[in-house]
Amino acid sequence: MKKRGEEYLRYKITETGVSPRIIPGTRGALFRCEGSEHDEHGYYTEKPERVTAMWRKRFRKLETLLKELREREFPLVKYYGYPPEEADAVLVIWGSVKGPVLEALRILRNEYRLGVLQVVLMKPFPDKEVLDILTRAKQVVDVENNYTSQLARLIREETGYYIEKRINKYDGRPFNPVALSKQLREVIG
Amino acid sequence: MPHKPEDYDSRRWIQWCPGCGNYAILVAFRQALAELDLDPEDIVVITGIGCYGRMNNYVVANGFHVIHGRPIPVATGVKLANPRLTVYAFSGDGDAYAIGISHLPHVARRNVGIKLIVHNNAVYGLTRGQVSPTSPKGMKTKTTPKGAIVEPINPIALVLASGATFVARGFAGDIQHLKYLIVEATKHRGFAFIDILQPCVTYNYIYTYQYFRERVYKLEETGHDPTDFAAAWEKAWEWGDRIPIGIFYRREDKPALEELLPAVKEKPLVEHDLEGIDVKKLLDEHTI
Repeated sequence: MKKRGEEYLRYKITETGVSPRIIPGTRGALFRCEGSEHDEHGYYTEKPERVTAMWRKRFRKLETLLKELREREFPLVKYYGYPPEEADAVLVIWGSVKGPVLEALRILRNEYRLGVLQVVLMKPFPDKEVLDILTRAKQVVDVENNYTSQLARLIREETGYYIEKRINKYDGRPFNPVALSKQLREVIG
Repeated sequence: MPHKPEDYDSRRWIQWCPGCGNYAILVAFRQALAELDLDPEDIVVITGIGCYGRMNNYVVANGFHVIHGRPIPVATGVKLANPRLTVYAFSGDGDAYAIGISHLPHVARRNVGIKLIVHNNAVYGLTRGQVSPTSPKGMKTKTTPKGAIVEPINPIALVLASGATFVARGFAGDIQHLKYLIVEATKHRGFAFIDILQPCVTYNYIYTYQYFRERVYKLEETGHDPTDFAAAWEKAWEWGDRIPIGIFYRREDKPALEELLPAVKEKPLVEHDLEGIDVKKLLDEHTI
């Protein structure tokens, strides 16, 4: 016997991975948000075939997201300065490093032709966009405000591209454009 | 047609130990819902982490199974988004009195119209028997093999001191009384708190059904005046040979938070018009 509100499937398995969502309180439907692994209703489950289906659905959602963002021309990556082929080096950055890097570009404008690749979205990762730019560059330098080059690691994980040249700053302060331009001279040569 | 308790039974296989106090709480809860005659669509059951956390699976209602210690903030969010929903937050002594205790005084102080029901078995049952904030001093557990060396917390006094407007204690060995407490808590205007003495038949060898049956007495049968804060405070500290259950304190004159917030006073957030909102401009503006 079907219980009340069971026609609505909070975790309905769909092609896109996205399940239709209702507002709790909607008549004839119950919103079951389950923290443990669940079936389409939102009931707890340990059945292997249901668990497998739910994992596939969940990760399909990321593919759908990336596809839609591309279709809508959302800026997954941004690019500044000389095109990769013409640049002496392409700097790879994310987040607040953008300001001082663009300032350093201005300081070095008579010495180098530089390009900057800013990665905006980390998950799902815009692998094609990033790889397309990096493989066209003559030289790549990763500039990050952390010890471990988090973005360079992510790029390697997601694309296989290894960025050897790195500038890291981890003294608790943001990059200074003048100091950064000196470091860039040393690294680029 | 009025609802019957079985209308709220989702007919799932229940995974608690035979004899667990959770069964009585579940039955009392379904009976209370039937007495209140609530539509399943208007009920939200929020649960945290613990054996009781499956509760949302066993009731026909909207359900949210949230991360450890957070039923209170999630319930607050649900209630403020739509004050027309009847929101029950189920929590445990590990959830509400340990990892999530920071939310407890604040929800009491804010008087959010949610109903907090705490399955207090004085032991961490789900993780197989470690000491909890309500374990009695001297109790031997996996993490206190020579006995707990500190005094337990007093949840009734804590919530009273925080300004709660409905403070009660139930016992999982008395379903009818528990049902009465849940019904009264639901009818209450603001935040309602029920701490439930719940025997854990697997890991708590002190707080058994028999232990409580020999000690509990009902405040309703003693002429206790629940509007008298001083009397409630005194009763809050009574523990030992005699343990009071029932409504310690209740006042209906304090407005609930959702009655004070301008954004939801007129109508629930969910009924505000969302058409014509363009997020793209905002995204462009805030993408560096």
